[in-house]
Amino acid sequence: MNILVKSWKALGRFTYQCASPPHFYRWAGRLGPVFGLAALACIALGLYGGLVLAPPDYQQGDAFRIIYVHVPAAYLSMAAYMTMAVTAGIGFIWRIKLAHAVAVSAAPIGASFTALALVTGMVWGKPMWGTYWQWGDARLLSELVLLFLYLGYLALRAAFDDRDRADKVSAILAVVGVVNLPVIHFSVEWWATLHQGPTISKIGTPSITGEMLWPLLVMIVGFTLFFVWALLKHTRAEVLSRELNARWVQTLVADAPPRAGGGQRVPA
Amino acid sequence: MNFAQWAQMGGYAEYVWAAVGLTLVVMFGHLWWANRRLKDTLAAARALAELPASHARPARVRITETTSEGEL
Repeated sequence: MNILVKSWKALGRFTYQCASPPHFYRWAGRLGPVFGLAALACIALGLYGGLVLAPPDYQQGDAFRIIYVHVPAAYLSMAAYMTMAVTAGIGFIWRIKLAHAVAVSAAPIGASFTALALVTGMVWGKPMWGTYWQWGDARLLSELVLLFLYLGYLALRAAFDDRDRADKVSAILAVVGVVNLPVIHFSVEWWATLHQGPTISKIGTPSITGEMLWPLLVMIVGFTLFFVWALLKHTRAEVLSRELNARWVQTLVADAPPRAGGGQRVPA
Repeated sequence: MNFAQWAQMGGYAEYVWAAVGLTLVVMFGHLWWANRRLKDTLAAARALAELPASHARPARVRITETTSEGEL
């Protein structure tokens, strides 16, 4: 019992420390390059495996290689939205400013990867389907709705001068929009659409050979690491902009000389 | 297979390279934007840190003026 109480208190202290802006700014600055290097290594390896080593598809030929950027971008579009919604919800319920900073930082990354998934899908669709876009396709439409949710979230925030109100109102939109994620995922199973069915999400029986699968998985890991890297960078800037008048920021800029990339040391 | 054959991607080169190129542009664009944002915010913080000193100077001048007139 005593151990449980001590663990609970330790967890509370850890959470409190992580939610502290100067603490986050410091460790995000240290962890960022680690994620960055790992992301670059995975993406380079995945691209080599996908574009050079993987054999051409028996039906789609070499056009199938678009999968190595399209699928990770589509996966990231949903993962970024889930990150945004969860952190916005945490910020709304427990009033943690850092959570809102993470949410608002995830939004532009998610929006750009959603747009990227749509565009790379269109580029793939033209040689395979004979058209860039099909309005009747549920996967395409639900992914487009996701893009509008991101843009709506960003536009809603921009409509408020008061940042606290913008945090609260946009958090509601972010959480409500989560309902679209299962629609995107299951759209190819619920409706007979032009978009192909699930390729790798069928646990144990992926409908893709191992030579084509491993570069795709490496790319997905690489995109995830990239997302964390970019999110840490954006969140550091967001935290700093929210805390401009705080003493730790004043100490930070007074003590540390300007360096390229904004990699100042933070006073402990 | 030589490099030129590989680069042709079986006749789908414009589609494959457009998708890969766009992805890399988006990724590097994000990194550039995030770095730029961080630098701009740090510059704003630095400007804010210097602001009180510049504001204090006119205040001191006013006090000196009133003191010379014997009102303080």
